[in-house]
Amino acid sequence: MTLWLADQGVARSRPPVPDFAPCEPDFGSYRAAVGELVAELAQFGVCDNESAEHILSHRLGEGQFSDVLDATPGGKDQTITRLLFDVRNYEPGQHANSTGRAGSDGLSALVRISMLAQIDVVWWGRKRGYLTDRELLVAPDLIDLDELSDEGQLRFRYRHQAETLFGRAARKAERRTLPGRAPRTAGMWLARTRPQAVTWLNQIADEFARLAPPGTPPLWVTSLARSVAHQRRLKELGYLALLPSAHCVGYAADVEMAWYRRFHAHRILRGLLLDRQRADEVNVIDEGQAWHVCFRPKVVHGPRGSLRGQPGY
Amino acid sequence: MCGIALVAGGSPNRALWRLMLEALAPRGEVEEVTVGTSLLAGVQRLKIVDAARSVQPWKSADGRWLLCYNGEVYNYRSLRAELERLGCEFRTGGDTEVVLEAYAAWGESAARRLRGEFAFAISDRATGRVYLARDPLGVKPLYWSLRDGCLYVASEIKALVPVGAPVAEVPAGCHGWAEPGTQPLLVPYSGLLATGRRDPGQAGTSSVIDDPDEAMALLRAALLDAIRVRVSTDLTVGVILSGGLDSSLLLAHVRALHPDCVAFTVGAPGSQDLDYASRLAADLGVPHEVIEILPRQIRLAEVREAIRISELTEYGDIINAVVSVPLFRRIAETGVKVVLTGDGSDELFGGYQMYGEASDRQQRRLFLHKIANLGRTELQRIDRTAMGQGVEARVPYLDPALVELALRLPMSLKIRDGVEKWVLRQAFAGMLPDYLRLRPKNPMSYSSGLHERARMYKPLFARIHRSLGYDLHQPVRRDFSIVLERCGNDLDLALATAGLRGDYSLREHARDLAGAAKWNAASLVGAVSASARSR
Repeated sequence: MTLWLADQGVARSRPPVPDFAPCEPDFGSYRAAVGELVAELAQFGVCDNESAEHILSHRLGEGQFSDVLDATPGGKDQTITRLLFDVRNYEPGQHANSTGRAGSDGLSALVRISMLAQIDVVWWGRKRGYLTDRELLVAPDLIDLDELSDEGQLRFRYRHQAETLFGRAARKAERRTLPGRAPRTAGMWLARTRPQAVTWLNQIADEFARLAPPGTPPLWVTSLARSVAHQRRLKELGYLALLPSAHCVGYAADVEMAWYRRFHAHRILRGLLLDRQRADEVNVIDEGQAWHVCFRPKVVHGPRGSLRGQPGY
Repeated sequence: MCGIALVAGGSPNRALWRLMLEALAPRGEVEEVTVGTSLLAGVQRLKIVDAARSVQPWKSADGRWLLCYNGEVYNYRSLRAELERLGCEFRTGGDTEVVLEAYAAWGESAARRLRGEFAFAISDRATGRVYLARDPLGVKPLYWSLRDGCLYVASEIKALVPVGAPVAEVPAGCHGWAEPGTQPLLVPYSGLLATGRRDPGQAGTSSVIDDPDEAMALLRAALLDAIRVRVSTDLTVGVILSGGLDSSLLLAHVRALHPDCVAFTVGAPGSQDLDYASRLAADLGVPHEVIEILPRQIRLAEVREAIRISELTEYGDIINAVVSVPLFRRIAETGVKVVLTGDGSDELFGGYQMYGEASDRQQRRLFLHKIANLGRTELQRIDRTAMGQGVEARVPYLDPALVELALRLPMSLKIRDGVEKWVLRQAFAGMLPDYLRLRPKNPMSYSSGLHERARMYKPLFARIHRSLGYDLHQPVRRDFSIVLERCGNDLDLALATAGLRGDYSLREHARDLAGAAKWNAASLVGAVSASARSR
């Protein structure tokens, strides 16, 4: 164990990296390296936590990961410690959202998602998240999706989490009787996000509607802004919910993917999202059923889209 | 971790049992029950270890034994391995099942093997007998009451008030059986404090550690281990950071042992606590949540709520609870369920300068008395105010191994050259910056700047306490620390005096109120003048 203050003095916080870092790490190379690392774990059939931890503790110190991990708020060492901790504590079937698969599949997914999420952390990890649901509900920089929906300003779909026993029973009945009517998602706890996120999602929704086969439902967004407290609740429930998270500052969205297979539209959506990633607009992570999208600072600080009547627009 | 509500014997009153469970609802997230003809058992469970499968009340495989369990046993993995070697088969990965299997294998001596903070009731469904046990220092609470041939057992007094009969506590470090329809016969099982009552080096005690280097090495290892077992969770771990020595050491260790920790500090804006705590959290790179409370935000409603939640009987503890309630409420709002606190360190390592003038033997008695009473004072405050919001507070400084070590240290290592907690400061001299290591101790609510405001309501404490029915257990009484001070730190005299003189007199209350009013008025005038100057 490193007892940190013994010989390091007291000032160890890394200097803040500005939102527009002049020498941003090469995220493309990093993503490729993560892909290779995950393939290596799979290739050796690593399915026990100890072996995975052993491999990662050796590999993560290598140069291809350093630039990104160094740029996280906690720095490389702290981030690696965190990743190894998650791997050590991983239990097969533990994560209900993305890594519920047993053995190496689950572990690989955990490593892949956690590593790629570090790009989000480099972008937004220094920004204070909405700590509680109450903070998120009253945050002036977030907008309410229900209001926008009522005004007809949304080109994508979403739904709320069922709060009552009756609501949950109705959802269950719907899933049984009409299994393909809606994605298998719990719905949003709080439907709020940043206006920039809505603008971006509207653009993707328009493109998706144009390119997808006829009869494909509109883009479905499963998650937007979340409080830190909600993120912790999700983790307790068995979801892979990392902290810090771009969801907790309102700069991330989860987009339904698996549901569009039945409409043969998932490849189109996947292509759209990856195109945006190649254009350096977003960081995209395949989480299985849904794909996670994190908005790059230059996108949200750049020219804004228009949402009538919203603050700052 | 949980709230227990159990009714055994006779014809249990189901409606009463429901009221008991409802009173304990804040202690858990899920309610789990077992209902029989002469047994009603329920648990409000906070899901932390093997959240999905460790359902309660837990039944043995043959159905004979039924366990209602509150707490965390940190050595459950090693106990489990030992039990497996004895042929036990386990159905879950949690500590609940281990506790019952340990009891089945080793009987009453199992309690001595449990390392952690626990209180539980085991019902023998074949005979109707109930076994009760509580951890050595009383970190987790357990109470009982007897009426019309029924034994009522619960984690809090408020759950037993509807029974309408006197409420008794299971003393810390005690266990025992209750035959059907009778009160439990509880005896000490833990030799921890009994050992401490003898002078170090006396027959039957472990040897004294008077070599400072050896003491410091052992202390470093014991504290690290005590904290390590308590952060063995993948959930976010909170640390209550006052900015003093104990909580700062705690945060430093947790920061090194757990990658997802967050510090919480409560206080009035501008208070010393906040400054020290913020500086340390920033230095460590640990997220820091500050709960700022203005003195004017402490009103009668807040005081009443603190008394209702905490069930405390001494004025100083109640005042501290007034500050603790919003602290834990905020922690719960942020989704953190496990927090570590630095409580107990003062008692173990000589954090009370007032004992400095007493003889070595007398000081030892005074410290032991404080440790033995933590279960009804500080630990009760922490348990109720934390669990009242669904947060589990863990107290690493009161780990039995650390307590045992502290009892082997002579007073000369604890207070030296007028420096309190000398051995602790020296042991971790390289770990904390001097601005924290050399900071003198401040009682919690004084340094958070809120004590004097809560003090304004002191004359009402006893009345509120009575109105809640808590005098079925004990009435509010004068602070023992003040009685002790007035008796010149003579413990025997103080105990005798406290027995004779219960609550403060009207005159004492009036004098205290005048002092508090004067302080609050001066503070108000100061604030108004500062505001005028700034304009």
